[in-house]
Amino acid sequence: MHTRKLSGITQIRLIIIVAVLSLIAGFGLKQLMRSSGSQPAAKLQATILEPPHVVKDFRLLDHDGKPFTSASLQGHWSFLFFGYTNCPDVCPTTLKVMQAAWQLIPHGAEVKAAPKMYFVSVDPDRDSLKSLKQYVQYFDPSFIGVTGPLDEIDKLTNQLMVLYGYEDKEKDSDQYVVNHSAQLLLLDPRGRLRAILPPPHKAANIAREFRIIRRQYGD
Amino acid sequence: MRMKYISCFVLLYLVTIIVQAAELRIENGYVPEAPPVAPVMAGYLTLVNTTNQPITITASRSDEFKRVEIHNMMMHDGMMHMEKQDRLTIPAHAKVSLEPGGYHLMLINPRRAFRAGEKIKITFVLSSGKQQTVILPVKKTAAPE
Repeated sequence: MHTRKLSGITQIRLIIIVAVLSLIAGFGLKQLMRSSGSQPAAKLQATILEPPHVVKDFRLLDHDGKPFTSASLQGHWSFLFFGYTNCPDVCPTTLKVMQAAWQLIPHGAEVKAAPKMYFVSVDPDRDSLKSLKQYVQYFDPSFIGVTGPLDEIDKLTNQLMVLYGYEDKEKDSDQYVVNHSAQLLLLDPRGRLRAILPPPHKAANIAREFRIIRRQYGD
Repeated sequence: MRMKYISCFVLLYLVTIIVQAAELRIENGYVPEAPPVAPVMAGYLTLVNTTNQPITITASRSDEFKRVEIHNMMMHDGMMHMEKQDRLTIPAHAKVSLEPGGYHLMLINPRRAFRAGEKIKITFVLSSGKQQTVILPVKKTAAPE
């Protein structure tokens, strides 16, 4: 589908620059929240974005081949995790945690406030929509796999402050490692990034923080 | 006389490596069941070295997978990095745990899907030239508490 044009070293340099910038941004955000006193009363591990960050202008596909755009994030809370199916450890563990958290959050067709759980593959060369669907639905039939062209993935990851990069990726090679952020992103029913949940993830904690955030920032 | 010394040394050496290989004990080994389409699986186990000498794993393999590697998972600036380990040394009288979020076996390209209850045979090649085979059960694992 796509091969990255950047060399490995350029990519790693880019990753470091982005990482440093996002650290600075994160620190600034923390200071800002501290000084404005907008930190919610309940203690959260999640970083709350105040105001929430509008996410727009990306065009991916869900695992059924339907468009996945900012419109897909309207009308319900959304948890997003970025990874790839060749990931043996962090991705399956996080998907299991997401499934356990999902069990702790009231859901079902009648529950309006139920969140949707998305797994976004940042490795479209190896993850077809079909295999992505089988992969995510193994964890829960309600989970939705998403992927698409790399430039469209970048449009989304840049807005969500998610980092990823390939290591040792050579043309036509299917053996390479993808480094990626391990945070969970929580978007509100207006499709705005509202909270960033840091790893290590625990189901009970995700469910608890979700309830607090939903109560404080509306359904 | 000299010949005797040499053969004695060789014999001692042989005994040592046999003991070494047998003294790499395995605890809590398992492979989490993965989605049937998963191109990779993880393997977890604790390697216990009960000898006076360090034991080094220089290669791993399994008939059930195209390749078996030892990787380490690390977090830098919020990003997860996987790093292939060419050698893994278990110091004398020490243990090294391969567990979620750290060192793990990376089982690449399974020849078929594995379900909970099955067993997977993995062979470690040690720097002494000896090989040690371990059997890991496939388990359905819950999310970490």
